[in-house]
Amino acid sequence: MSGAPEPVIRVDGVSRWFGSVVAVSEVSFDVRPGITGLLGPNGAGKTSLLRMMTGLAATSSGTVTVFGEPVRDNPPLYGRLGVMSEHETVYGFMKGRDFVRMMGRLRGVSALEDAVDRAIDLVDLAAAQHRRMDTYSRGMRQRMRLAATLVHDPELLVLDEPLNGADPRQRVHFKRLLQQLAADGKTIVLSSHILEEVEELADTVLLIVNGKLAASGGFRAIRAALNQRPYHVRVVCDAPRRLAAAALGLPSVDAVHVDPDGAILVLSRNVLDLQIELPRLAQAGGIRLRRVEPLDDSLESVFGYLVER
Amino acid sequence: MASGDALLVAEHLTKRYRDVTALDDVSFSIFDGITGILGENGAGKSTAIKIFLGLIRPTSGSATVLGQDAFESVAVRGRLGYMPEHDCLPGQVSAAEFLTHLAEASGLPPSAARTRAADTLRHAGLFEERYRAIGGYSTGMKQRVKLGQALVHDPAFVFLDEPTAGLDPVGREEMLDLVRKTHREFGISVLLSSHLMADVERTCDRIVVLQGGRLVESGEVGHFTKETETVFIEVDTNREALVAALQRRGVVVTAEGGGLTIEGADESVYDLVRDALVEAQAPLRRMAPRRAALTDLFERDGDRAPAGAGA
Amino acid sequence: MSAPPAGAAEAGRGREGTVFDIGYQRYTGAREGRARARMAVFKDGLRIAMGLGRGPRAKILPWFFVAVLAFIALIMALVAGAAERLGGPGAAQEMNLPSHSDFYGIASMILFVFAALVGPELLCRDRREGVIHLYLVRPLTGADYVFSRWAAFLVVVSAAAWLPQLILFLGLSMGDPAPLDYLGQHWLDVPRFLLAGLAMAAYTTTLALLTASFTTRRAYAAVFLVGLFMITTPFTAGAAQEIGGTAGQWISMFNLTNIPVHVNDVIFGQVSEITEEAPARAFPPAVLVGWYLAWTLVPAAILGWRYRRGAP
Repeated sequence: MSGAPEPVIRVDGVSRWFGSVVAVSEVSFDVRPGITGLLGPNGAGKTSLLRMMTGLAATSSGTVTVFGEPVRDNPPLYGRLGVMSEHETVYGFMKGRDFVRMMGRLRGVSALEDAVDRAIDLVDLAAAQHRRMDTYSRGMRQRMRLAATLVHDPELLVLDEPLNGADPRQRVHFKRLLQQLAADGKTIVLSSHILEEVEELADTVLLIVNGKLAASGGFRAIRAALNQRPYHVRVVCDAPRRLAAAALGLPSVDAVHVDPDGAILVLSRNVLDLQIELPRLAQAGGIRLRRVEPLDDSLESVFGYLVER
Repeated sequence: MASGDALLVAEHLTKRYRDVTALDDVSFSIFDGITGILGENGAGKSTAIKIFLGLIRPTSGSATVLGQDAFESVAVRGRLGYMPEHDCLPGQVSAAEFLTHLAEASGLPPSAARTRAADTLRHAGLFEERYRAIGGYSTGMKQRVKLGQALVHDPAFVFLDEPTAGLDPVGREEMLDLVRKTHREFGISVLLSSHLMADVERTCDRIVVLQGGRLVESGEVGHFTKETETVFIEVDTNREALVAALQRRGVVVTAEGGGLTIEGADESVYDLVRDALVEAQAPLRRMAPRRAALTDLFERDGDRAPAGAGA
Repeated sequence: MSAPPAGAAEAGRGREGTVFDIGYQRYTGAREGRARARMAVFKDGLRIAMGLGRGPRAKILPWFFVAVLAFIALIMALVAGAAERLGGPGAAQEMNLPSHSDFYGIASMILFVFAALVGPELLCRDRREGVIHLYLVRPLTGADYVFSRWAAFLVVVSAAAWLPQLILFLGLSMGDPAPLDYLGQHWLDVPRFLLAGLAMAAYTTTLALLTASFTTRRAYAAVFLVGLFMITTPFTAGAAQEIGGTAGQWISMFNLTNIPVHVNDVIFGQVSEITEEAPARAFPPAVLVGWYLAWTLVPAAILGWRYRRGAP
């Protein structure tokens, strides 16, 4: 990922509790430049964790350091952070540009007008910047809030569900923007429920379940690490029943289902075993393999599996 | 009814406001099944839906719902259901009481309303919590109540506006299951408005795409997610060995993302790939033709010309 | 199925089994359309106004007001009864103690406050929570919705206006040494107070709901209404006295609390204690009733217009 010796964010043994409710339980991880996805079911502790990572809330135990310094009660550090929370609170009567300028001024940005111009261009809202924000669609409000988050050119961006209400084109544009920012060396932590988008964007994912860190790292590596899980693969070949019979010969295969349209569905307990054996069995039988598609491979499946565990 | 199986028909539908034209001479038909209506914010989707629900009068043209004029007919709304995107649930009332009341407000006699409410809550996946005040429900439960009130009076057609908004991945999958169930098991047709192309691909049979107040695409989802001629291969390890083995067999391969692609695949290439996989001992995760995706519709920049007759 | 062996009947009835289909069933029963929809909104309006099925806190306000009004009526009955006992028959009338014709004058402010505090709940909450949008996509027009709510609140306010008068009537008749005679002599009071109560209720309901249609916050509507009544009353009364003459009479007509009370006077054929001082009482009955109708029907029309195509 990066050669930087020190991580941008270091979360070390962090817990947060409210009375007897433990929202976050002994979580430790590092965040490096690039895009990190923070995932988890509703109520899993993501919001508490994000608040602690940005210094908005104190930890009950453990430490959070950002750029090598403790993040809590550290105003000079906030200038390097851009935070966008989930729920929209904008002043409807304000014009978009005025809102971004106000946030810039609050951050003490120098060359304010240029910074505002740049931020608004990044989110492609130059055309609408002089209109009041209550005339914006939801997606536009989100983008203007993002501009306000970017106006002081922070090195670290923490975004909670930034794409709420965004239409498909805005989503595409936003993804490109994030990729551009990551390429420029920024660090982005993105919390989202739309896993197919996180899968596209994030180099690293952090999955929080019931307040604990259930998985972290590159998505593909996580997936590969989950070797021993029920694994369904749909195979299209030109001799389905022969291949099915051969597959049943593998000890790791629990079941084979034959579809009316000729595809076979293999259920295996060992992912790696099936991945190696399938081409070998096909070759041994002189069978042409046309399609091999795992049904449990998306970030969503892996997520579901880890959440259920 | 007008044309065959069409449940909703828009004909030269136009809606103009003082300084903006929300819909511009739009014509399309929605049939039995699950149809997705797509478009950017401001493209005219919500205007079209509101016209079908009888909330807005068109400037010109017609909107017909189940054979009746959408604006003129009050009665036809007893056969329509609507699940709004925005908050619309009372905090102090229980789901059971609320659904019973809305069933009556759709014309069902009180005793039928009560039993329909109970059954609908069960089908929507709300059990003990149905007797508690809605204010205390989680987002997932609230979405189920919203869907329930759209179905409680057994409509012929429902409009679902961003049904998965705010739901976590598991909740989203459950909601999409419910949407599919609504058509496949309950026999109710659906118009689904969503910004998430994955949701649309997973549930809809057909789509209608609006842009700038005009219809720019319509047709079956399968048409937009067709396979291409590019084969995509993904292996977990020994990728270089696989590339070498493929090249030795004369296969031209490009690295892309987490895998490899082979352009313009001829039939025989599959056997070569299979043999190369065995030789390189590369664990095969995936091998399949690339598919187009609905997001491709929006990845092109600039406006597109309005469509002629729908596909 | 094989034939059951002998004795199976005693062993149990488990030989036959049926699986019931509890999957989704289509509804093939009656669909009663708009009429049923209006009734549903109406019934719900009654529940909201009386706080039924919404916990104890929702009941406090409406029942408190009804209790206060009933209490006043009870006191009036008891005082009149005592006067009769102490001063002999007809003493109450001689002493000019307040009676049916005065009640609405006395109770008007209480009824207005009741309507101001409880009425907006029928309209504001639905708009604030967004529930109104679920009504509007049902076989119901905006006008249907708002007038069903209006009718529900009218019923509640009328009940609140009639109950105390009934108590008063019963109290007076029982307090009278010869109850049956009393009934015979005073039975006309009953239709009079029913009509006057209805007039009072219609006026109050309409103004309360019209105000509620302008805001989503019940409290704002309540404060506005109470403020409106409490300020215009002394102001117009004072100004009317000061200016005098026809102008003063017309100013007095803008005393909003008195508008329905003048109608009450017309119905009872005598000026109540409250409106004794009002210069407006001098206008002919037709003018007073016409003025009342303007102040009730025009706001009702505006209310309907505001809801005609959706949430205001």
